[in-house]
Amino acid sequence: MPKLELPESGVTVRMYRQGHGDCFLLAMPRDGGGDPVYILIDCGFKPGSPAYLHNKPIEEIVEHIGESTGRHLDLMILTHEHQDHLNGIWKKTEPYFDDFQIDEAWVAWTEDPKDAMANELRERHRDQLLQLVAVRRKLALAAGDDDPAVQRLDGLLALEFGGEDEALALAADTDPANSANKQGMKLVKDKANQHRGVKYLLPGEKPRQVPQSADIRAFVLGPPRDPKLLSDEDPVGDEAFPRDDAHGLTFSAAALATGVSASPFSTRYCVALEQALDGEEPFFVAHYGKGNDGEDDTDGIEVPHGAAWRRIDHEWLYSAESLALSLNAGVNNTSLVLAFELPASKKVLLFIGDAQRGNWISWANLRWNDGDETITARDLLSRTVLYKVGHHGSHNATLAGTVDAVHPNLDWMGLSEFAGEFTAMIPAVKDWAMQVKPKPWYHPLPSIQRALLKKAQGRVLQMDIARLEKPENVPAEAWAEFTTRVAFDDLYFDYTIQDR
Amino acid sequence: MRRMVEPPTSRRLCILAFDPSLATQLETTTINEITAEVDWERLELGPIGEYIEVVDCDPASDVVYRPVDLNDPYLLARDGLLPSESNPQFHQQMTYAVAMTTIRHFERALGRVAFWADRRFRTTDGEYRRQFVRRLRIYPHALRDRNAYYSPEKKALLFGYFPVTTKDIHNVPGTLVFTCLSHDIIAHEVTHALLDGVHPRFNEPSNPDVHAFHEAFADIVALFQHFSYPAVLENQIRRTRGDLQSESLLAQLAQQFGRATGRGSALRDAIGRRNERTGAWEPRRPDPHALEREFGPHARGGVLVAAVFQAFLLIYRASSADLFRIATQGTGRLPEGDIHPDLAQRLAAEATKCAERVLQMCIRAIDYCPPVDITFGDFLRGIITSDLDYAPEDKSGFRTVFIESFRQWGIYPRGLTSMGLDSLAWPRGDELLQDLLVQLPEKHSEADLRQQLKDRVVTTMQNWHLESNRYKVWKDLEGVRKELWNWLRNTDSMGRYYAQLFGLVIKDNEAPPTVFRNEGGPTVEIHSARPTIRRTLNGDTRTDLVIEITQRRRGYFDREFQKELDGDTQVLSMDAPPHDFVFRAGCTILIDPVKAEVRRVIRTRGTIANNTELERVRRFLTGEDGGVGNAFDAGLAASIDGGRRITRDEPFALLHQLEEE
Repeated sequence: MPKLELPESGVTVRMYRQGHGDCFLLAMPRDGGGDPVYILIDCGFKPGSPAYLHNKPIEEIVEHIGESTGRHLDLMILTHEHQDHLNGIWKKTEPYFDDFQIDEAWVAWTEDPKDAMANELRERHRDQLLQLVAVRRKLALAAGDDDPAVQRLDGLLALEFGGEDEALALAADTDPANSANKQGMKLVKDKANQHRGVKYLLPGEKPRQVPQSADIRAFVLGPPRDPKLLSDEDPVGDEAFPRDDAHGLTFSAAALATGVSASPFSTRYCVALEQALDGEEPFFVAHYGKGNDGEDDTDGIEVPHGAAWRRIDHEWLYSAESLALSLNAGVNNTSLVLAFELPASKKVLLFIGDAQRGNWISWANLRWNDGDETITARDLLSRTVLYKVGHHGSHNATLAGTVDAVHPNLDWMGLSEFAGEFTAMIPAVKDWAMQVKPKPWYHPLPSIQRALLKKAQGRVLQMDIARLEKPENVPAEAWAEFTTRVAFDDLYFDYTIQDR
Repeated sequence: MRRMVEPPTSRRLCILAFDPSLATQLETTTINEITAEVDWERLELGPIGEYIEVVDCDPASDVVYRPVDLNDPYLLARDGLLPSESNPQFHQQMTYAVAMTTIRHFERALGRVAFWADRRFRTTDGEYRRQFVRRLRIYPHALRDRNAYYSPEKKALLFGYFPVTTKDIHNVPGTLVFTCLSHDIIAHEVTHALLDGVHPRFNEPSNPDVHAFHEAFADIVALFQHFSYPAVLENQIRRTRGDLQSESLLAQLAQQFGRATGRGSALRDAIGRRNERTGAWEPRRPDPHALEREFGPHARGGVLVAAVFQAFLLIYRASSADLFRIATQGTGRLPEGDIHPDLAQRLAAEATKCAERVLQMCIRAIDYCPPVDITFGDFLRGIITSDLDYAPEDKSGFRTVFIESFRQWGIYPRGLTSMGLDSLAWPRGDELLQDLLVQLPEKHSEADLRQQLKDRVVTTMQNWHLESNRYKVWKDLEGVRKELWNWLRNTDSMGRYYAQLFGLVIKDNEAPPTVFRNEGGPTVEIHSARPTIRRTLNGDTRTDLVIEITQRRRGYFDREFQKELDGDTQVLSMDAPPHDFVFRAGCTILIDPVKAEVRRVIRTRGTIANNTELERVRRFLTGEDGGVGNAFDAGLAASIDGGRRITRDEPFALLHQLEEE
C-alpha cells in the first residue's frame, strides 16, 4: 500500500472511517522535500459503530495508518480524553500504536502536569468520576443493571474511561487514573518524550510551526483557561459538583455515604427510614410502605395507600445522569482547538475536537500579533476552508449565529475569497447513533447537518455516506472541481486542499 | 354527640408569600409571612386531606420526618406553625397550603372537582388497567438537587434541596435552599399535576410548543396566584406607585432559587430582565420574532407568559384609568412620593379583579384545547372560545386585548386566514353538522342525528352529578367513557357521521396500515369524559360534558420505510417492526347534555390518516426543527410510549438540564 501523498501544492486530509469517533491523518509538505510530514489527530471510535460501516476491526485501520506513514508520525495530536478519540491507541496487550515512531505530541494545557489549574481540573475530574462510579453502583443495586438510567450512565461513563468493550470499561479497573483513556494518552506522550517532543498548547500562544513543515502555522484557539467556560453549565455560574461541603448535605455526600448520612434537620424531627417502616412510625408504614405492600393491580380500584410504585427510594440517585452529562460537556470543552494556516493562500483548516459552547465563545477574545497585523478568531474562521465538525455534529458543538454575532459561530466561517471551497467533515455514523439504547444520540443533529450542507453547498463529508450528492443549484463545473479533490475508499476519504 | 357548631369555611395556615430569601431583606420582610385561608377539610397527620398527601421521606438522608398534625389545638389556635426553614413540619404545612390554594383556583375556573391523572398501566399479560388516584403525593425533601418536578409516573411532586455554592451579595455559601419553601415552585409543580389530570396525553412532544406550553401555563398560574394575597399586592402597588409595568415581585418567580443558581435575579420574570452588564432591570418589549429563536421549553414558554401578562397589564391599565384620573385630577401625572393608601387599596382591588379574570380565562381555556399537539395558537383559540361561551355578551374588550397582545408576541394559530374573533373561535357543532349533511349522500335529518346523540350519550350521563365522593364520580365517568367507546366503535351510519364530525377515522379502508387497530378496525381511545358546571358572567348555569378522543399510529423515522408499510394493503400485524414514535390525532368535544347538542368540536390539525402531519411530527422528533437539549439526545423523548422516565427527562422539571440560556 502506498503512503499518503501530497497534491501538487497544498495538503491532504484523510478522514478515516474507523467508526463513530475521530481519526484524521494529515499530510503536509516537508521542509527541504522528501516524504510528506504526517500528522495524526486522534484515533478512537464507539464500539459497535464499525458494524454500520464496513465492520472491519480497528487493527486494520491502525495497520492502514502504519502503511500510509511508514509507521512514522512527525506529530500526533490528541484533542481530549474521551473514548471515541483515544481507544484506538492503547490496549492492555500489544497496544495498537506500540511500533509507531512519534516525534512530537501536541496536547492541550489541561494535560500539563506542571500547570496548577490543569492539575486541579484533572483531580476534580477524577473525584467526580469516582463519585459517579459509586452512584452508579448504588443505583444498579437499587434499580437493577438494566434500568435505563443505569444504562445511560454507563454510556456516559464509557466515554470517560475509554477502552474498547463498554461493559469491560466499567467492570475492570475503576480508578480513573488507570483508565484506557489515560493509557492511550500516556503511550503517545511517552513516545514523543523520547524526542523531548511533548508540547502543551495554550490558547492565544504564539502561532506554532508545524514540525518539519515550518511554513504552516498552527493557531491555538482552545481550550479556554477559564473553569467557568470549561464547565459551561446551566444553571450559570454554579457547579454541578459543589466542593465545599461542610455539613455533608450535598448530593455527592449522600451518594458516597457508607454509614449514617447527615440530614438537614434536627434529630428530634427525624426517624431513620428503616426503623420508621419497621413500625416506629405507623404513618409511614401505612402511607409509604415497604416490600410488596400496597401492590394491587385490580382494574378500576382506588390506588392503595402504601402503593409500592409511588415510593421514591432511589429517585434521588437519578440526578447522577445530569452530573455525568455536565462532566462530559466539561471534558469536551477541554478539546484542543487548532487552526492550521497554509502559507501561500492563507487558507485555514479548523480542527475543533469536541469543543462545545464554552470553548467556542472563548475564541472571540483571542488576538495574535503578526507583524503589523492583528489576527483574530473571526479572521481565522473567515478563512476556513475545511471545518472538522465538533462532537459528531451534535447540539451545542457547532454554534449557530450570524456574521454580526459577538460569539463565534458557523456563519463566521468560509467568508474569504475561497468561500466557494468551504467543506465540512462530520465523523459520525448516524445509523449507529440512532440505535443507541435506551435513547438515540442525534449525531449529527439534522438541523446542524442541514445548516452545514447549506453553508458548504453540499460539500459535506460524513463518515457513513457512500457517495456525494450534487445539490441542484450548484453548477456542474464547480461540483466537479470539488469531487476531483475527493477520493473514496471503504476505510477513508481523502481530501486535498490546494495552496496557491 | 350532636355538634352545635358548623365547621369553619377555612383553615388559616402560615405560609411564605415568596420564599425564605425575602424574609432576610428589609424591604420585603414584612410581606413575606402571610396567612393563607385554605378551604376547611378534615385532615389527618401528614397533612393528608382529600386532594393532597404529604409524605416526608428523605431517602438521600435515609430518614423520614415526623408528619405535622394540623389538628393540634395549639396549631389550630395560631394559624399553624410559624414559618421556619429549620422545621420540616413547617415545610409540610406550606406545601399543603399552597397546593390547596392552587387547586381551588382550578376548581373554581373549571366548575368541577379536580382529578389527578389516572394510574394507567399494562399487566404482564398485556391488559390495560386504570386506577383512581385520589391524592397527589408531595415529597418535600425527595432530592438533593437544584430541581423539583411533578412525576407523572408516581403522581407525586418531588422537591429538592441543595447547598448554595456561589458567594455574592445575595448568597452565603453552604446555606441550604429548599425548593419546597418557594411558593412559586409549589404552585408551578401543582399546576403541572392538575394539567396532567385534565389531559393525559397533553405532554407528548410533537411540536416545540408542547413542553413550552406546560411550563408557561404553570408559570401563569403561579404568577397570578400572587395577586390573591392582599397584603403582598398592596405593598407592591405602593412600591410601584400603581404601575405594574415596572419591576415588581408580582411578575417574578422563584427569587431565591434564581439567585442561588447564579442568575443574580429571580428564576423567571414575565415582563423584564436584568441587564447582565449594568445589573439594571429592563422591561422586555414585545418581540414578534421571539418564537423563531427560542426552542427550549422555558425560554419559549416565557414568550407565552409575557403575552398573557401583557394582556393582564392592558386590562389593568384600562380598568384603573378612572382611578388615576381621579387621583391626578385628570393630568395623569401622580405627584412625587407615596400614593395615598386609599388609592393603593382601590388599585389593589382592581388588580385582584383583573388578575382573577385573566387567570380564569387561561384555566378555562384548557377545556378548549385539542387533546394532543397543543400550540400557543391553539391556546389563544381556547381562551377566545371559552370566553365567548362564558360571557357571550361581554363588551369589555378583554378578548380583543388577548388577541392584540398575542399578536405582538408573534403568537397566532396555524392556518387561519383571520385574527378576528369569529375565525379564532373553534367551530360550533351545529355548523359542522350542517356542513357535513350537505356533503354526505346518506341522508339523515338533523333531528335524527340529535336524537341519537341524546339516546346514546346523554342518557348515559343521567346519573352523574357533582358529589363529594370523587371516587364515585370517577367510577360513573368510567361508565360514560365505555358507553361512548361502544357508540363510536359499533357504528351504525349515524355513529359514522359523528365520527367524521369529530375528525376520527374509523373505517378500516380509510386508515393507513400503520394506524393501530383491533378486530373492529382502527382503535379509538376515549381519554377523558368530564362534566363541568359553569356559572356564566350573567349568572346562568351551564353544563358541559368535555370528551377527549384520540387515535394512534406507528411512526418511523425512516420515511421511506413508513411509505413502504403504508403502501401495503396488508394491515400491520402485532409483530410489525417496532415503531420509533407514536403519532396521535383526535379531538376534544364539548357536549351540552340539556340541549343534546355538540357545542364545540376542537380537532387536531389533521386526522390520524394525515401524512403531512405525520411528517411534521417526524421532523420535529428527529431534531429537524432546531435543536434543544444536550450533546447527545437533543432532549426529546423519541420513544414516546416506552421506557421509564428518568430524572433528567422528567418532563416537568423546574430546570431542564443543560438547556441553553
